[in-house]
Amino acid sequence: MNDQRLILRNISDNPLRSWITAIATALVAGLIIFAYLLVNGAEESLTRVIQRLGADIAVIPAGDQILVEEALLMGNPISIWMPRSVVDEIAQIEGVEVVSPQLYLSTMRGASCCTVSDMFMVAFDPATDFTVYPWIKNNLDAPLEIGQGIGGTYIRYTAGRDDILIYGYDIDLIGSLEPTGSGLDQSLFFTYETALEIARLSPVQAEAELVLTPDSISTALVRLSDGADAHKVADEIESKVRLVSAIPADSLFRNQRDHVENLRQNLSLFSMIVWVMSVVLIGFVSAAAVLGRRQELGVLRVLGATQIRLTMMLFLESTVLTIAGVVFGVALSTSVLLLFRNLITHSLNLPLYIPSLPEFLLLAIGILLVVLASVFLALLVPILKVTREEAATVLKE
Amino acid sequence: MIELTNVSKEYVSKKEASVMAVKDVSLQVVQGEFVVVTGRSGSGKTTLLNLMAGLAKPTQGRVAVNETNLWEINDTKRAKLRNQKLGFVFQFPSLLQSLTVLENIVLPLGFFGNGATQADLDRAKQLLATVGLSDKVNAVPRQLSAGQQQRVVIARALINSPSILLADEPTSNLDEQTETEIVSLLLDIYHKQNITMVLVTHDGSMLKHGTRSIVMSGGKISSDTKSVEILSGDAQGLRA
Repeated sequence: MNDQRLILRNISDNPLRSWITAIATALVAGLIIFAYLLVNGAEESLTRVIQRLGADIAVIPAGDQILVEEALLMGNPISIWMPRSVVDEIAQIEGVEVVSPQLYLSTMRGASCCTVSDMFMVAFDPATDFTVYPWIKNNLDAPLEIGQGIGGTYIRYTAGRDDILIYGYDIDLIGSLEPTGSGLDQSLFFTYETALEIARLSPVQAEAELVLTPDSISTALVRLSDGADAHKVADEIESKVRLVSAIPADSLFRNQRDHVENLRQNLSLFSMIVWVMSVVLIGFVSAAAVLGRRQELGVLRVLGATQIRLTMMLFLESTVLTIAGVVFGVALSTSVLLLFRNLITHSLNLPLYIPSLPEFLLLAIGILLVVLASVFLALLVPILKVTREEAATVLKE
Repeated sequence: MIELTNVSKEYVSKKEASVMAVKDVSLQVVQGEFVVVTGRSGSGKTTLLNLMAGLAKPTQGRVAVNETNLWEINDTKRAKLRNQKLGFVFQFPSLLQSLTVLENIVLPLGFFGNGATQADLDRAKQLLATVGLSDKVNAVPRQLSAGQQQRVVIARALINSPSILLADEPTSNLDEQTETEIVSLLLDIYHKQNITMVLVTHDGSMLKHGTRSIVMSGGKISSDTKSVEILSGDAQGLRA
């Protein structure tokens, strides 16, 4: 009979203690990972969208900031317009290095001429672009041509097709972008020329015409020269260019950031309460279980088990239960988060970046160590009390 | 050999008054003796046995087994000595309920070795046969009667071929017939295995089985008599 088998037998012979420990640890681990994935996923996603924009300032039609933010984060299709002439006006302002216009479009809802319903699309200018090309996963052999597109990380060809139908126009997908966890992952990118071509052919090929206002754009993304102050330049843009809002990158998604911060505080508090309650519960139950086995532990001492060995055995029992609980809690929590991702993101109106498998495993291991340390803390006193006592005293009781 | 020199043991309690369970006891148990320790409840006989086994640390004095002072060695060495030199039979059911009879018997082999080999398992089965429970190899303790459980405990105590067997009121929870069977078993083991045995009991009738009788009273040895004196009925006369 080796220690491992004895430990497993003890676990199965103390079902109440075992279940309570496993469930409590599962609850704590599940809650921590859920809170972490949700809050950090939203934060990471916001950061990635800003990085993806790559702009120091986003210039949009005045008053449309919330619409643009929701489009970028949630992929909600929008149609906002401002004259293309603002690009030249902005370019004249001191401190501005590059201005790249983008046009926001969306596919039709429930139309057979569009493969994906209500999809957010971005038409960009390859000549000035600094926001799309840098994030393409695979290097392109040549610049995008008319009829070619780049998809967000979740844009795939549907089964049996080698193109994506937009207003009856075949878009050939030649690349995809790094994930952001935002609506950009479900968006399609192509050039202005492609957008114009789609619009030109739409009266013939689509169920409804795609109307593009000539010389209109949705946003102008601005990259500044070294040393230029984004806030000062943004103020300058708003004062010199009529009917636009110039938003420095660090002011983008301010509402969402506040929302995430509130979420972080609430979930942290809730997790902390559950953590403390679980540690106390595990402490009480395990203490009762250990103290209830005093005589058995005394017998093991008599038969030759050292104090250290008994201590190790008791901690190992808890380790096995904790690992089982944490694995279950993490798996369940993550599954719920992934399965209901869309529901959660839309109800919270926040994007959600899911970490890569190595990042996730590292996080899970970190949570396991935290929960394990908590359980050890809860068990320390009862275990040391029993194992440090004289064997004769333990046997007597 | 077990040697106690001026040993006292005081139990200190925060809730109750301290108790001096054993007071300044000196005693030598030599190889091959069958010592029966008797006395009234609270006389200190179980504490004396626990002191001999290194399960209780003396408040003062020296306890040695085979000339090794039990409290000058660390816990690991003390545990190893207990594991390999001493067998222990308790007055309460001491089998691990989660293990089978065979697993209970070989349990001590796992503490200072690589676990039970096939030869160990064969020996465990042989010991089970010795205690008359060959057919209970795979039974779990709750399937056994109290007497059967105590037989398994005796088999477990012998698995490491100890030189000393310590038994603390091994028949106190048994009916008369089972008690007789267990006593017969212990005597049989004593005679056949050349083992030193210390038996603590409140039952005065057990005195006739030992080669030496010790009577405890108030934490002290009030009488220590060799078998020749027991047989002659002069139990109070000579000290060992």
